[in-house]
Amino acid sequence: MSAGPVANVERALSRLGDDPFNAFTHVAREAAFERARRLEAEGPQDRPLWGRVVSVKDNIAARGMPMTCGSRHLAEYVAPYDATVVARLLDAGAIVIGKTNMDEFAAGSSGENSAFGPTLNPRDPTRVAGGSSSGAGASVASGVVELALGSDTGGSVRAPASFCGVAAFRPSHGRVPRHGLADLAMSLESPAPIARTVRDLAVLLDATAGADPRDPRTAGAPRPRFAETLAKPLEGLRIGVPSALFEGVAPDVRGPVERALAKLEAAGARATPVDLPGLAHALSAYYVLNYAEFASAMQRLDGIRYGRPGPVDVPYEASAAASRASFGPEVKRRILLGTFVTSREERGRWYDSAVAARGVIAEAFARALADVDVLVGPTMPVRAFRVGERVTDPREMYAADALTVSANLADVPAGSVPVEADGLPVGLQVIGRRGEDERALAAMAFAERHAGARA
Amino acid sequence: MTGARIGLEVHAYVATRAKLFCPCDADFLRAPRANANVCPTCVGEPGAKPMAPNRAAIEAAIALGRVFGSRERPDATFLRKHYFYPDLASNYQRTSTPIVEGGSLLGVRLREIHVEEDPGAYDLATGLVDYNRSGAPLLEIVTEPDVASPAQARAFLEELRFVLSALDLGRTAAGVKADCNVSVAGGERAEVKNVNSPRNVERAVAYEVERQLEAVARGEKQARETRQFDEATGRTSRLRAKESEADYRYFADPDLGPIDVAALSRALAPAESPLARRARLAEAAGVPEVEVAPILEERALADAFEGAAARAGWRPAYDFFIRDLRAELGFRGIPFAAARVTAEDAAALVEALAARRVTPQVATRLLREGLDRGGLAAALAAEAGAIVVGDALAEAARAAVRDNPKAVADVRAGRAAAVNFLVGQAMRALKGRGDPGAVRAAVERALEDAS
Repeated sequence: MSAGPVANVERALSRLGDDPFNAFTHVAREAAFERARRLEAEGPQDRPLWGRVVSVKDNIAARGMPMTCGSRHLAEYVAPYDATVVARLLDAGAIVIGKTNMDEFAAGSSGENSAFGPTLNPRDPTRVAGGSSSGAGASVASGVVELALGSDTGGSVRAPASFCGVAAFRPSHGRVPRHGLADLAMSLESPAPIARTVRDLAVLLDATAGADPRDPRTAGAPRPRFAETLAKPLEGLRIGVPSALFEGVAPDVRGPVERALAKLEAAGARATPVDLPGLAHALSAYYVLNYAEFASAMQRLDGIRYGRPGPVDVPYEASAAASRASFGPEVKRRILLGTFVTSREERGRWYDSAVAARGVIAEAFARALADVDVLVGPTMPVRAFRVGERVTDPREMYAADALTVSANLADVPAGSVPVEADGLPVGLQVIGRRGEDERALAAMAFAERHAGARA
Repeated sequence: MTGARIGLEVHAYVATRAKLFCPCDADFLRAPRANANVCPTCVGEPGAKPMAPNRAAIEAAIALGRVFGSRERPDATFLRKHYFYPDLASNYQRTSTPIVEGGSLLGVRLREIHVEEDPGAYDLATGLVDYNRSGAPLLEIVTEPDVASPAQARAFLEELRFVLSALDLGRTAAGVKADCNVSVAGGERAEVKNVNSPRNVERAVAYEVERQLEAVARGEKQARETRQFDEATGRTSRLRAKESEADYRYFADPDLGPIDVAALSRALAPAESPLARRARLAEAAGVPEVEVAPILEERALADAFEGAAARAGWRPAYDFFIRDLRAELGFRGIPFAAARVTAEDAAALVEALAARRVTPQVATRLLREGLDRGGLAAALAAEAGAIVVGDALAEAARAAVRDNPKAVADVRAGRAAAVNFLVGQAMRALKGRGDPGAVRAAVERALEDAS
C-alpha cells in the first residue's frame, strides 16, 4: 500500500486523471511531488503517515494553497497559515495532494451548491456525492486518496460517506482542534476524517486530535487512543436501536440497515430498542442555530480584507453590499434567515427556542445512551439521489439531514460505515456517548467487520 | 443642582502584554509600524480561532471590581456583537457579559465592568486599516446615572484613572474614553459618544446639561438620541436617533467557553486598595492625599517609597520621591519599574540624604547618573561621607567672596539675595559636596571677616 512517497503521489495523480467527478478545487501537483521527494530523502523517522497522500476540504487552511470554501467570493483567497489539523498531518509525514470541492461555505447536503460545480458520485456519476464534504468523499471513493480531511457540521462527512460507500467519523466537540476550519456554525462543527476503512479513520484521528492552545474548546482534551482502542477485542457490544432514527427512511435503505443489525447481533452484539424523543424538533433547531452562527461567520466577508472587493468609490456599506452580492442563493438564504432569527424582535421565538431545544435533545441522547454503548440506525434516509433532483426545494434538501444533525446538536460522536447493499451504497450510522469517541469508533470497526460492504 | 442625571460608560485599555485572544503584542502605541503586531486571529483570517481569553485582562476587571467593592459574576461569557465597519476584523466584536457588578467609587454606583476587544484603526482619508490595536483588551466600566454635575463627572474619571494607574492596569498613555448619558428633569436621555479625557467629559456634560435645560424651558419635546462632542467648539451635536441604532444580534461566541471568574479571583492575591493606601501614605507623610497620589500612580514607585520611608523616615522619602525621583522619571518618560535605579538604590540615597552624608545637590547628580548609566549604589558609596567641612569649607567661602566683588558689593548695598549667588559659587567650587546650611554660614562668616 505504501510504495513510497513519490510513487504514492504518482498513483494518486494518475487515478485523479482530469478529475471526472469534480472532486477537487485545487490540485497541488508540484508541491506534492516536492514534498514527496523530501520525505523520501528523509525516510519515515517514526512518522505514522509518512508518505501517505491526503486530500483536504477546501474550508480548511493549508498554507500557500487556495481556500475557496466552494465560493466565488473566496476564489482568490490563499490561506496564509496552516490549520492545526493540517499542521499535525504534515508533522505526521502526510502529503496534501489538494483541496476538495464542497458546498459553498458548507451550506448544503448534496455537494451541488459549490460555485465550482457539483461533485459527482464515483459510484454513479449521474448522482450526487453527498455534502457538504462532497469532494472529500469522492476523493476517497474514487481511489485518488485513502485519507481525506473533511468537516462535519450536521452530517457533512457522514452524508458523502453514506452516498459514496466510504467511512467517516464526526468527533465530539473539542477532540479535534478547529483552528483553521472556516466557520459555518462553530458550536456544531469539527474537522472530521473520511477514509476507506475505519482503521484509517483511527490513523487520521490519532494524528489530528488532542488539545490545541489555538482552540480553547479543546482545553483538557485527552490524548487520542483510537488505533490502540481498535486493537483491543470488543466484546458484549450493547446497541440501542431508536425507532425515531428509522422514521421516513426509504425501504432500500431500511432493508440493508436492518440486515446489518441482524449480522451484528449474530456476531455477539446485544441490540435493544431505545427511546429517543424530541428528534422531531432536531432539524428545525439545527437549522435555526446553523443560520444564526452562519450569518455571524459570514460577516467578515465584506470585500475589505476577505471576499471579492466591492467598488472603492462608494461608501463602505454600499461597497460591502456589492461585494456580498456574489454569494450563491443558499448562502444568501442562510444569512438572511440567520439575521432574522437573532434580531431583537425575533430571537426569543427562534434562536432562544433553538438553544433550549438543543439542551432537550442532548438530554434525550444522554438518556438513550445510558444503558447502551452506541445507538445505531441509517446515516441517510435515502440513497444518493440524482444531480439536480432536489435543488429546487430547500426543505426537501434539508430533510436529507434529518438523521445526522441531532448528533451535532447533542454533541456526541457519530460515524458512518458502508453496509452490504445491492447497487448504490448505504451507510450505517453509529452514535456514541459524548467524549467516548474511541469506543464509538471501535463499534464502527465491529460493524465494518461483521456487516461491512465488500469494498 | 439641575436635576441632571449622568451615567458614564468608560473605556480603558488594559496594560496587558498580549492581546485578548492571541499572543500578539498589545502595546499598539509602541508598534514600529502599521500592522506589525498581527496574526491570523486578530486580523480575522477565515478559520482562525480566538485563543482562550488573556487571563490578565479578566483579572484586571476583577481587581478593579475589588476597589469598587463589586460582586463577581459566576456566569460570565463572551458574546459576539455584530456590526459592519472596516476596522472590525470579523465584523463582530467579542465582548464579555459583566465580570463584576455593583459597588461604588466617589459615591457613584457601578453597574458593571466587562472586557472587550478593540477593533483596528481605520483611516477615513486613506481607507487604510491598521490592525495593531485589533484585539487589544479594553475594560468597559459602566456607572449608574448617579453623577449629578459636570465637575463630579470629571472627578469620577480622574479618580478612576488614578485607581487604574495605581493598580498598574491602565495603558494610561492611550487615555480613557467615556460615553456620557445625560438627562435633566423633564427631558430625555442623550448619549454623548467617545469623549476622550476627564476635562472634555466635564465640558461635554456641562454643554449637554445646559442645552437640555434650555430645550426643556422652551417646552421642546425631547427624543432619545446619540450625540457627538466637538473639542474645538465645546459643543455637542446630534449623530442619530436612538431608534435607528443597529441591532447587534448578540449571542454567545461558540468559539469560547464560559469565563471562570471565581477561579481567577481565587488565584488573584488580595491587595490593599489604592484608595486605602493613598489615605495611609498621606497620613504617614503628613501631606494631603492629593499630594501623595502621584507617587501611587505606579505600584513599583509606591512600594519603593514605602521601603525608603521605612529606612529614612516619611518626610525625607516623600520629598525625594515627589520632587526628584518623579521629575527625573517623567523627564525620561520611563516608569520606575523600568528604571536602572532600584528600590534599594532609592532607599539608600534617601537614607544618605537624611543622615546628611550627601547633600541634595549630590543626591540629584547621583540620581541622574544612576538613571542614565546605572551603578547608583557604588557611586553613592564613593560619595557618602565626602561632605566637605572645616578649613576646606571656610576656604571655599573665602574664595567666593574674594572672587566676586560685585556680588559682595550688592550684599553690602542690602540686596540679601546676592548671598545666594555667593553660596552657589562656593558650592560649585565644592562640587556640591557641602551641606547647604554650613556653606551659607561659612559664606556669611567670610563676608564678616572681609568687611
